[in-house]
Amino acid sequence: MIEKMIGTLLVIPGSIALGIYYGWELKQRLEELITVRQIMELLKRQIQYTKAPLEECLMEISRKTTGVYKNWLLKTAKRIEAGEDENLYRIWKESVYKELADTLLRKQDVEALAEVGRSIDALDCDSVLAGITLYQEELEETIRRMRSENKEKRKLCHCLGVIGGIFIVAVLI
Amino acid sequence: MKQRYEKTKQQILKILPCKMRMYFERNVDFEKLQEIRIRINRPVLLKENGKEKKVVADQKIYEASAADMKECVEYISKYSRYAYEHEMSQGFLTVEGGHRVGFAGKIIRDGTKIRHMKEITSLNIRVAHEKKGCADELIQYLVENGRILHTLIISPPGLGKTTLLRDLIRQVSNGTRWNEGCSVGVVDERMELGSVYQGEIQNDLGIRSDVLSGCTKEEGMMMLVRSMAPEVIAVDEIGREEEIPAILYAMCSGCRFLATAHGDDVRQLKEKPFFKEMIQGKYFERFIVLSGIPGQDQEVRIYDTKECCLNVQE
Repeated sequence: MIEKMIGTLLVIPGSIALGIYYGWELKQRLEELITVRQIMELLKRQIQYTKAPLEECLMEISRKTTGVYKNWLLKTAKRIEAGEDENLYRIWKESVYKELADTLLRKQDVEALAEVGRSIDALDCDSVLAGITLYQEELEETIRRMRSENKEKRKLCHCLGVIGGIFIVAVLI
Repeated sequence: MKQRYEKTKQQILKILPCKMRMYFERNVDFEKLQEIRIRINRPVLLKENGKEKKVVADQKIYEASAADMKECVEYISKYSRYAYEHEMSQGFLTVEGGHRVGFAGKIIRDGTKIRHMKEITSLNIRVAHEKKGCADELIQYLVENGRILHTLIISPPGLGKTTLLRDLIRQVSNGTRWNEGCSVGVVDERMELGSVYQGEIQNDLGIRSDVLSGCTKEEGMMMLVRSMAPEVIAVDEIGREEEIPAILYAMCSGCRFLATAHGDDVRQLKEKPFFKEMIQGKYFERFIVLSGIPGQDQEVRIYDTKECCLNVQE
């Protein structure tokens, strides 16, 4: 009986914690997408007003960013400066996949961000800006959708955590 | 000096396609290197002290491929061709270290204006050299009663006009036994004089020099006169009609003027409408004419307003 009690005490809080974690992950992904949106806006402004080379723009934005995204921007700038590849898209893509691997961005978020590398490899400023704007619009749509759905999804995660725990306990007992 | 050339070497290697780097690293003397010419499906040529050489790889004359050219353009523009739209529409851009890269390719037009260049087929990398002291023997002829005389340096391309102007700026700015140091406003339209890179002036232009880079000469001269009150204004490669009012404005504002221009000699320059007015009006008080082959038989002559030769330096 004591074992069953201990098991119940372990399973229920565990499944609740799992539900809370999934809820937090949803919230965190949204926050990270908002950070990416801010970075893209800064990049667009830097290119539009200073017309500085990408490497300088990324260095400048990295000063206004923190954590893993700062690191990503700095490393991308350094790779560009070092001329690691003859193709900018490959440098950008590799950098996105490598440096943002530990974030909570999903596969489709990372893929979309990696594709920005194609837009910024354009001949003129207007094309670069148009490419970034297009990505921003898609990102905005994702953020809007997540904002409207997240509240319910998080509630669902929490509920499923509790119910799931109770269900497992019921099955085991 | 050695450190300086090591820096030049790194700056040049950085913009060359990977396949060529090895050859340049092993076989090229960057102290003597003047220019590199890369053309698609043609041998890569370089000039050392006026002598032309072909790049050899695996005992074969190396011909640049379209991929080499693409790679090189990416490195030169730092993967940001959008940032150099204006420069590339003029056919050149200046890279870190003040080295000038000229382009030939397909022009993109926007109405009557040239907007950009694509499908680059030829490149000409002109290596900038900072030769401190190259104006040592000349400065005495450019000073009268302690004042710098309006001076024009004349030579065909590649003979060292910009290098000489750079050293003159440094000497005028720091002061010499012939003149006291004075503030020099440098309009560095092509970013070759000061080679400003990420906010730092990389060439020594003296302690009293203010550099305005990236703007046209006419805009820059007006801005400097109004904002920085320079005693001397220095500009590289004058010759456009739009520049006349700004030059006259600067001269009439009491600024002394140091400039360079393309040409063989004073007589030939006088045939150009822009310079005819300036020379006949005796706006310039000294002319420095460079001739010969760089690094070999080079001659520097200084003329006054009557076109009397004051000095010949070999």
